[in-house]
Amino acid sequence: MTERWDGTDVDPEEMPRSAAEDTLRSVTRIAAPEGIEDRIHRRLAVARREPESRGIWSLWSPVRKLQFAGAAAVAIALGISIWSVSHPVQQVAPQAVAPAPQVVTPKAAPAEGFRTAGAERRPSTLAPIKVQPAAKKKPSASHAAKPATRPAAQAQVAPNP
Amino acid sequence: MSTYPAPIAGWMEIPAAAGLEPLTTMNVDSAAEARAISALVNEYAGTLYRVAYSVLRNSADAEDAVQETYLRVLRHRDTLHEIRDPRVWLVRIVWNVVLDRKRRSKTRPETDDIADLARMLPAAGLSAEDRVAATQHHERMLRAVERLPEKEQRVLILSAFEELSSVEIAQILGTTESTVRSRLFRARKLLPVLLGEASGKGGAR
Repeated sequence: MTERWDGTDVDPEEMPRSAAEDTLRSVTRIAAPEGIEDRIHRRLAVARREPESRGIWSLWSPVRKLQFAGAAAVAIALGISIWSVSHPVQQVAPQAVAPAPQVVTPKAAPAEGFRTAGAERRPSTLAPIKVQPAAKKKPSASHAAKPATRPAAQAQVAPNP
Repeated sequence: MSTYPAPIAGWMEIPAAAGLEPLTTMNVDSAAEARAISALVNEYAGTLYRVAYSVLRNSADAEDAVQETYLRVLRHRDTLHEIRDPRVWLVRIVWNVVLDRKRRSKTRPETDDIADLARMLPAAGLSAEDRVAATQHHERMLRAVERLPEKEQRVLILSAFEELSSVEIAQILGTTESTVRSRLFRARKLLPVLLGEASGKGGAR
């Protein structure tokens, strides 16, 4: 018998077990699945075969190396990006006035190589080619005998009888 | 209080129990260790499974927990010879493994494992109608246990194992026997209240 939190001296063992405890008891009687011991033995055998990694040297496995390399690459990239934000590159300001186009005259051509020999190209719009006007032909007799091509107009003009 | 090395004192702190033979026969030789662990598997795997199942309510999870328990034993096999009561020691390990898993599984979506468990409980020799009634009754009881405060709930679950005395439950939970008895008392007082509330709610529906 022990003194209870509420001052009573009731032994919990003497209290009647509730139906909930009977249910819990039936839960504890559920049988373990078949072959559980064999599976545990197999798992332990596999665990025994695995190489034991001890101490800090276990971190130096090939997989760990790759992980470290990846982490280092990410850290370097992050460092560079932070540095580039805090130290912006001074860019050359573009010139306000655009330079005038360079005019190359024929006389300024290099001394070596092909020359224009003083020839200048003059567009035909500056010196138009003069073409002689075609000679006018006299109307032939057959043209004269033909009736007027505008009978409707004549009809309008003609007075009503 | 502990007579065990510091690295494992936290989870195997078990005071010497009277009348229990220390496992001094276990050599440090690896073959002997393997044999000792094998004997522990053969003898206690079923008990550990039932302890794990009573909390996790899932066969696969319970078996995983038992396997993890024996892997922990394998990792600390050098100290096997210091264990006085392997049964309580193993139950304590599996209990901690199970509570870890239970804590982690809280992040997973809730499943109605109580209903599944109630259906699993033995109902041999009952008619179909009686079986349905028994399943509903077990489900109601398990839901009431689920609503108990955590500490009282743990004591009640462990006290359902007939092979565990209140002293051993205290060792497993890392507390004193009087605390265990006090919690058991509180749990037994609370259960009828919770069941009454549950039936009141059921009647209101």
